[in-house]
Amino acid sequence: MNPDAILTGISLIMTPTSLGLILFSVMAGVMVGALPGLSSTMAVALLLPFTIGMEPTVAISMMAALYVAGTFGGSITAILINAPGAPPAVATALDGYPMAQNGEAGRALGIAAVSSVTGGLLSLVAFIIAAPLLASVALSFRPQEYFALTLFGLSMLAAISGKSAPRNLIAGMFGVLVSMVGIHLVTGVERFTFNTTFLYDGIDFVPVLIGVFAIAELLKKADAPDKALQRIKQVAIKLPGLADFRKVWRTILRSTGIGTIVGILPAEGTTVAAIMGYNEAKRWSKTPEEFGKGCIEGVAGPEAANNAGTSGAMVPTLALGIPGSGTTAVILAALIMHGFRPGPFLMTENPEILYAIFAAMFVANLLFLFIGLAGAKLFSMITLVPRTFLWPSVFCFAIVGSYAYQQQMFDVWVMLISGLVGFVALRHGFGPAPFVMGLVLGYLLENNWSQAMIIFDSDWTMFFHSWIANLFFVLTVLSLASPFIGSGLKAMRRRTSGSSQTPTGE
Amino acid sequence: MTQSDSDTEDRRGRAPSGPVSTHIPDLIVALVVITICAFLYVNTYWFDSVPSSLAQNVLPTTFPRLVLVVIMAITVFLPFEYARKIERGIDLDEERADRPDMIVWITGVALVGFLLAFPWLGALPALILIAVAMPLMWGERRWKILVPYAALFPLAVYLLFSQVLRVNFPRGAFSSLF
Repeated sequence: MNPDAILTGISLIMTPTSLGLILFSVMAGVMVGALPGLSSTMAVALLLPFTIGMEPTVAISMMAALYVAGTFGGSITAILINAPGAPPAVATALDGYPMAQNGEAGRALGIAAVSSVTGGLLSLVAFIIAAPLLASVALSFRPQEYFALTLFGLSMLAAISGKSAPRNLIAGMFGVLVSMVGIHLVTGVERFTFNTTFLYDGIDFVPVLIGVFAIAELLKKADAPDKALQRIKQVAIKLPGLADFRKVWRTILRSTGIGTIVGILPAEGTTVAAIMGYNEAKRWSKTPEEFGKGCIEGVAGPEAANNAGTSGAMVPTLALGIPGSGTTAVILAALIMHGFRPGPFLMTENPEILYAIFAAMFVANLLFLFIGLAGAKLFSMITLVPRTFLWPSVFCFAIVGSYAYQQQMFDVWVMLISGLVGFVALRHGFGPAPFVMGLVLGYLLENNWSQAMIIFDSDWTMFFHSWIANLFFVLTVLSLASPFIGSGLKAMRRRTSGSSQTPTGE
Repeated sequence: MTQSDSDTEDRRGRAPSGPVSTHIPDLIVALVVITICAFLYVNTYWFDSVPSSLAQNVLPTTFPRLVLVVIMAITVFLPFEYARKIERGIDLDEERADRPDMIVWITGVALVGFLLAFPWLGALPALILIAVAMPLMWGERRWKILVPYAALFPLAVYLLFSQVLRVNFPRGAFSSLF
């Protein structure tokens, strides 16, 4: 560990301006998280243009704080109105809302907040230890190993949550394709520019991110009816007592571990972590029959896991330059936009950023504990904002934000076209997160492939001479086969249980 | 299954279930994806040629072609996915089951119109236009909320970006007013 970097990183965050900006991000994150339809990924994408003129470390820290707070924010509306504001809070609603209906909304919110903070803070410890270690290992990676690692990151799209592995992979590969538009680095040849000068420098991340996350969702919401949600009126926040703690501390620790590990896996996100946290809480519970009826372990499990997942997802993002989730893919794009080189070199060139992000996420976790608890009722009221005002506001930010990035109308058109294409793709099951991951990883993939091919004098068999690359290739194959392996195992289990039941004649 | 159920399923393009049954909407999607990829693949033949010595064994066409072939290969699986998924209770048609209402198309066209108006009107008037037209288009008629929203929100966004973040917006036809 580098004490100078630690001090520099923390001192960058511990200024009134930085703390004020983090407070703003936490409030925005909780609000966005609480609003069904608005995701923290979209919020981070919309925040990008605001940060152009900022000190880069503070800008990235703001995004990390928004990510953390947005993940927690979803639990407020999940508990109070049974409408998870963000996908990671889906599992929280299963027991949170029944608790609220039983008059225990305050207790459920208290459990959610304390579990989230505990999960978030404990996984930050894992983050601060694992990220530099992983980076130091990755420093020895050569282009062929980096290519194999990036390929593995992309292949994880097959295993990512979502309905269809092929669709995720296709969306990811289209992202890779879009990253190739413009000048080819090795030869200087124009690719897919269609003789327009606009595409000469390629298609920038920022407007595309805003388009696929904000505009596609806006069009989706255009014909959505305004739902009359039943709100729990009496919300007296109650922090969990000693008896509650005794009941949930094992669940919190287990879910923190699950969330951190799932978060570290490339392309897996906090939603997967939360669902696994819930399932494991139920599996290990002494009273699994209470789940779904308002069990505090059913709130603590997913909440600890999804917030632990945020720190976990930052590990591969910063240490390897491979995003751990959709939101961290946007943060990765922000790092590149601000001139950082994500990956192991980030730790040697700008080590202070790791500690600044750590400090920002630490502060954000503490802040949302207070803000979330004190303002839970207020934040749940946010769902009262009609979509007829909410989405025009998002569109205003999308236009102005994509224009502000490079102050050219071309970016605004890129944003809109990305959004329109994204909307059509979304209807057919091609999600924006895999596309963005492909877009962000595309450059890394081709660049390392090109470097390796130059070194190997076009002999591609040389890729298999490195055991690290081979390991990642094997993991890639396993990851691509995981949907088939999963369904094969399920079918086998069904057959086994079927054959064991047959003799009894049932 | 009732007759009406089976009619609905036919309308949604579900072919009779079987070990390798295809799903018509996915077949169309697959054809569209393959057509796009084929077009882009052909486009790679129009890339400028470079001598091998300059390309250092890394031709500009190799990687895009590789990616396009991979996409096309994966796309081949799409039409056969539906039957497997529905057995596991996953409906791939959920998002596209209902046709988008007219308002979705109108909104899409309006967004293009707003963007065309942005440089022509200037940033602030264009933002005001969006803040008025979009809520009205989506059925908002609460004038007591709409008027202050349309007056204050665009102004706040404009001032934040132009004054605080120092963004120079297109001046537009009303530049003399600002």
